[in-house]
Amino acid sequence: MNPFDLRGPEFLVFYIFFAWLVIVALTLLRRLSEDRDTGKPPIDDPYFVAFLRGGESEALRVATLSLIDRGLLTLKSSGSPALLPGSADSRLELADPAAVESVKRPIEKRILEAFKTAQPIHSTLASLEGCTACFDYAINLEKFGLLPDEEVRKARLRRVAIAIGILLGVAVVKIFIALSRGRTNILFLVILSGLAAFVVFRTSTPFRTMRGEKFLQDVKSLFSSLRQRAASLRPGGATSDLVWLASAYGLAEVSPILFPSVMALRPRGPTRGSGSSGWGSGNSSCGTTTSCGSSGSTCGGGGCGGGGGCGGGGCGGCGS
Amino acid sequence: MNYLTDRVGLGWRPDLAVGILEHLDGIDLLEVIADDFFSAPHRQIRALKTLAAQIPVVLHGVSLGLASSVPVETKRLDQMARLFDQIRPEFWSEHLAFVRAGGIEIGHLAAPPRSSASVDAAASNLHRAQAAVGAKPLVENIATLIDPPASTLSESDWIAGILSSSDCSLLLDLHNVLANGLNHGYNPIEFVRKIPPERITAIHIAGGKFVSAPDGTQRLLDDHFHDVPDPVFDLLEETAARAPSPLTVILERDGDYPSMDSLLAQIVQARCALAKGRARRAQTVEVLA
Amino acid sequence: MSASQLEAFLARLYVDADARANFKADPRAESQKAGLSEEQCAALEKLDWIGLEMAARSFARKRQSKRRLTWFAALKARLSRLRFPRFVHYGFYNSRNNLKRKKTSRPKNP
Repeated sequence: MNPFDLRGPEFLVFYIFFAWLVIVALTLLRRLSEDRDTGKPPIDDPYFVAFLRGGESEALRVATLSLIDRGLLTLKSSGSPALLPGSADSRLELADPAAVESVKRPIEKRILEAFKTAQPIHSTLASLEGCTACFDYAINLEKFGLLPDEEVRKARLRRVAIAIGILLGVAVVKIFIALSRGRTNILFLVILSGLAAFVVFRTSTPFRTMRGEKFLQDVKSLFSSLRQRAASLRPGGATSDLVWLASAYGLAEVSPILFPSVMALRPRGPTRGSGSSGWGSGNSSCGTTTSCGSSGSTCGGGGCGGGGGCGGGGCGGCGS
Repeated sequence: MNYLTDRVGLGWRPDLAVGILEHLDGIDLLEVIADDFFSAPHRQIRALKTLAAQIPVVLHGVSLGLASSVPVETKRLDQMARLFDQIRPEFWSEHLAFVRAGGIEIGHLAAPPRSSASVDAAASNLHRAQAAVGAKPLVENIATLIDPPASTLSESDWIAGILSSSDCSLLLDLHNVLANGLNHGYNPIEFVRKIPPERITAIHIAGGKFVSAPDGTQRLLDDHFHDVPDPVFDLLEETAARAPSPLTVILERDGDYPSMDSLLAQIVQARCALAKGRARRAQTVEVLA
Repeated sequence: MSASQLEAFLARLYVDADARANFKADPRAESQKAGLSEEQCAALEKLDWIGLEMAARSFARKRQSKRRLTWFAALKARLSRLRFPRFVHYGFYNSRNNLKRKKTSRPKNP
């Protein structure tokens, strides 16, 4: 049976099914090509994970949150300590000039240097995007196959171009046939083919590679217990826990009541993940995703062995 | 510190994830409770594999009941075997205990009566476990608040008998040795001296608390909720002075977690005890030579 | 078989308070009823009662902590872990959570 002989509504249903098959095929091809073993990504740097989850802006925000919690940066508003951290004129300032030398991570150093005098938060962090510290993270993420490098991006675009070509080709053929038979009700097909091409493009060029997605899920799984006790974190009490919570799950997981400064750091309005922008040649922008959870987040409570084997978490004592 | 690659590690607990992953350079390996993953979804197993790629991981079972006189259920051995295949740990371990009998689940590790019959039964279960999993388990001594009735063997003879019959190695839990010694009236150091030293390849250190008995006496409960006491480090030194094989020491903490610095300090203290024990052993070997 | 019978008897003593009470009242009768050998019955008469009670209490605590959630409680636990979809505006998300958090905890320095 020739699908091009199907009547209008039937062909639209066929086209939807066909587009779905194309998307599934692209996903499988992406899984096969992007899930290769490229070494052990480090699991001891929270900013590495934050970058993987939400791009360089996310890594910068999480690092800034860490510096605020450690007392190295002070939140200011109109020359006085902030009463409304989320206000537009919130600024950050270095609390102690000697602090710049005390931090170990280059990204933290860079942030402290940027806030040597009181500066507005968002514009200053935006200006830091593309700095060497962020670039190093991007290079590492690409090296471990967690973010797409130039080769992967080209392969993706090739696959997407072929898929869109097929989809549009089928639509164009059907339109020609319909017009040749005197049928002019082609608007739905035109809209559907445009929508299909858009969906194919969006689903086939995500920010992370398949391996990156799995690695992020693994990190979230390992830290799932942290998410469950997020409400018990206190300012200045356990900065590592706070930073890992924000890195793995996003700033939205941090309570704004317990950590008012997080309101000043959250991006204004919903952010968009620009899946295809990348780092291959020192491009200064990086795709970001909103920090309010990301795809594939685990909802399970146990995490990595949550319930405990024989007792409330772990062995529970070897014997009565 | 290393003497034939002695190592000191920590029990993996989700609540300690942040501290552990930030201090991987101070921890040689992690021990994971196997039972937590028998029914875990695929993504949790994959997360465990990711962890195992960062640091050596060993599996520790708590519910097989290998010292039971009743053969261990095949289903339970299959679960352990499947997890072992997926994670490929350095070794796996279980307890010399029974956890169920007559259709009743006790809920934790109970000491079986120590007799030649239970030695044979344990050895048989260990052979089956090895066949199912593909690797011999290390077997761990347990603490018990009640000296098992109708026992005809001492604990050290019983353990030695099982090790000899099954050709397995021992995971010597030193806090359990201390607890049993205090609760049942024997010298823990003498106990350690009676264990065949060549069989000891791994060690657990942990802490517990004294609980009041109805008769007003105190008994030591091995609850893993407290810091490792000094007598356990003394036992560790004694063990290191006698054991010829490299030792893998694991610090167990199951709750009431202190700061990561405190746990790392206990790991460092364990390394020092190992080093002192090894130094004593080196002197003894020199003298004998 | 007597080793497994003894273990089964001990398991019952560990988990069943009534069985413990009956055993304490007449150890020999209960042991013989369980089909244990003469030596085992004699050994059980010299049982450490205090250790038995303490062990039973410890096992009961362990069993309780391992008790599985009922299906309803499990569903409730799962529903409580749902998060809003990522495109929901932060303001709406925060206001909802602010209301929840205000009920459960108060910051030391608001």
